[in-house]
Amino acid sequence: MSGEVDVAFGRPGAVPAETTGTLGAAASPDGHAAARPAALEVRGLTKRYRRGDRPALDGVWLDVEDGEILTLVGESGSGKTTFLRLVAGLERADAGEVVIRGRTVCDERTFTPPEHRGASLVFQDYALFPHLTVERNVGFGLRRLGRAERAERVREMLELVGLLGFERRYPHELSGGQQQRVALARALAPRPAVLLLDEPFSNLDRALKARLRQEVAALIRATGTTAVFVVHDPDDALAIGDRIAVLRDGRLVQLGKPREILDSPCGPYVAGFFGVGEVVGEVEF
Amino acid sequence: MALALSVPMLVVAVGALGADGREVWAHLASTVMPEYLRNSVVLAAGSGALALVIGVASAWLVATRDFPGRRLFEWSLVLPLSVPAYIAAYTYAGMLDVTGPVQRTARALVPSLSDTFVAIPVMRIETMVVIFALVLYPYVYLLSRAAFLGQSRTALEAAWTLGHGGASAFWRVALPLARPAIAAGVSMVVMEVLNDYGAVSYYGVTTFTTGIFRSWHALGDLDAAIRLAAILMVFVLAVLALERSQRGRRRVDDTRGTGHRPLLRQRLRGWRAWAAFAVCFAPLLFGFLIPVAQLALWTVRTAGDVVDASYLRLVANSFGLATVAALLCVALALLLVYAGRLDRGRTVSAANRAVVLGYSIPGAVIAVGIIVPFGWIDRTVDAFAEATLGVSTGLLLSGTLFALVFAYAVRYTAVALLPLEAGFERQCRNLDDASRCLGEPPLATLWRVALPLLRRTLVAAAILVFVDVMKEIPLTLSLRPFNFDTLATRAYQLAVDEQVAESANAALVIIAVGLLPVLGLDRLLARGRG
Repeated sequence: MSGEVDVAFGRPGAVPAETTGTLGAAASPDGHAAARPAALEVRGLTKRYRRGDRPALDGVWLDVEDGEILTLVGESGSGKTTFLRLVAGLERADAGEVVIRGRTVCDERTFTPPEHRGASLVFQDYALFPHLTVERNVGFGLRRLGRAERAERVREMLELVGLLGFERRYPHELSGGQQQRVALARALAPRPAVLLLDEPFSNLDRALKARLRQEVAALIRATGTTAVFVVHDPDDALAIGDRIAVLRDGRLVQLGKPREILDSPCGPYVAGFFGVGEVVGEVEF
Repeated sequence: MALALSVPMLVVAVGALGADGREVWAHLASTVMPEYLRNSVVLAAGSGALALVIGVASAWLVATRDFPGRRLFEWSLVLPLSVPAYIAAYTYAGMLDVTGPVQRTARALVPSLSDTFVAIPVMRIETMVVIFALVLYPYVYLLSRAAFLGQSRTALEAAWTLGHGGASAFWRVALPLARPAIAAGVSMVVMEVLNDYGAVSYYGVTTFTTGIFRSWHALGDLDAAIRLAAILMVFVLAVLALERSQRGRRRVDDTRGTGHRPLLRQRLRGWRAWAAFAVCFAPLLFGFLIPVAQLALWTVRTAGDVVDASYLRLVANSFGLATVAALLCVALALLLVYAGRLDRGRTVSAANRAVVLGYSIPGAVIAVGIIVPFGWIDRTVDAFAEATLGVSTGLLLSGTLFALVFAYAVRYTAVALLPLEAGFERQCRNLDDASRCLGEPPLATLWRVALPLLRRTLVAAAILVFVDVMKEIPLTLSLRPFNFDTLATRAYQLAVDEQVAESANAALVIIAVGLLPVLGLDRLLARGRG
């Protein structure tokens, strides 16, 4: 499979021109990309909700390296959430492919339903099951494990997010921050190939957010999980992402490390979005 | 699955357009059609208009005014809905009869009348209109009250500050705002009237429903029955379209949660208060209290003769049938709604809309639409068995409980579908997606997430179907197995056989069951929201 990946990325014409310079792990200067296959590969993903409408997502190419945290940033309506839902299998793509850990889960012929994709999604409103306790929420995706194993994994996860002792509580008995950590523990418990987070900080106030985003990112790094964060705040994107993908009107306009984005934004839109002020680059539109 | 539920409607539509129908059409048009059409229109329009007046007036008073008894009326004005029209119809006929309690009392009180036996012309279309309006106005009342209560107080306050006082504010602001809700209520009344068979046939008023059954049962003319059913179906679809157009771009339930303040009720005093009381009490009195009191008296008088083993069998039949139908309809509705969510496309939702249509299609039409294909299957299988095995299989589907339950499913799955759809939207939001992402396939998600969350809604939906089946007449009468009776069919037949008093017992059981959702449903659904 990885051979195909290289071929795919080797086709310069198929990739949006602005992103070629910094695109993908295969081309990243780290140089170890060839040894580690990407955890998530997305090729030309396109989705149109209604015939005749502008596509919500328009031919997006990117990949996420194993253990990497990618932040997907853009204004509302830029297609961020659509991207997550397509990767998770909650929507069907009109065109393009999604490959998770070398397994094609979505292309012209294939549609793997969400339960077989190995992609966990942390919902914006957390989507905790109101009729289940914290313990059973976290254990929800672990039905294949034996009872003892499951209990152990739930304990491990609650310890990770610092919620030991909350096992018997119901979601409505928790604060917003605690609910978010339960949602995170629940999503991490089945050891997903890729963790998807939809605007995880949008419900939090500013002061809390700065602390929490570092906590969450550290947690995810501690488990070595590959993650895609969807955020709308450029500060969040810069603070937690190993790399940042900038979406505008359904198209990927730049993909790169925080430093690269700040140093050489692709055009005035990205520069303005990150508040860099001057267009450092030479690109004129 | 949705397609199977739409079969009867398709059969009727196709059958009516079928070949060599011109003669049948011509015959119908030259004989019974004008009368059926006139009666149906008079009944539908008359009952709809009268129900509108009663429903809107009482809803407006209860929602915006304060007067003695208001709190009581708030919920008790819904009670007449538990009285099926056919029961109200023959109860009034029995009461006003020459030997009925009204005339007997009059003769006993006024000696000079002791030899007068007046045949009060009760069994007329005008009486029918009044009776329908009396037991069906709660649809208008419920929906328009909700609309009045949901209207933002600021809209009315704005009208007041602009110089439009009480009445003017009502005509110029409140009523137009509530119009979609009122239209929805009236269209439900009209649907019920067009569906009715028991009441109109008892009063000898010939409508499409009675016409369908007459052509079919008495004359054995299924062709004519199909065509009448088709016209009735067009009629119903026209009413639906009319309601849609009334709704326009507005949303019936547009209350915009935030900043919503309830209306400040205006306290009525003196004669106004009593007038308001009378306006609300009259429909309750005539639509519920009088018929129920009369039925209770008859029940006490005849209980000794009526309650025996065969009566208990009736009760068992009714409850058994209603339970099976309720479980089936809820299960079907749940699967359809969930399939719609999984699909996210238009196909399943379009199919679900077709199922919802089933509820507006009168029972008589569905009965015809079922008997035709089932009869064909029976004949084909029978002929095949005769030819190959030399055995006649007889009737396999027609006249079985299976056919009857299938008919209930066609008509009542919609009753369960609508609350479940709303319940899914409100209670599941993205929880089913979350479950899928955690590795649970669709059916496991339904079991582990949707069912526990929707428990109350499922119970409520089942109760609604249960009650509807308990009082159902046209489908049961025409599709039941030979010698199989329910409380509803027995009550109806006793009434037809001039044994109105003996039918009271069964009628009261039906009304009592009907009270269940009327009184409990609001609360059940309200708690389910929490």
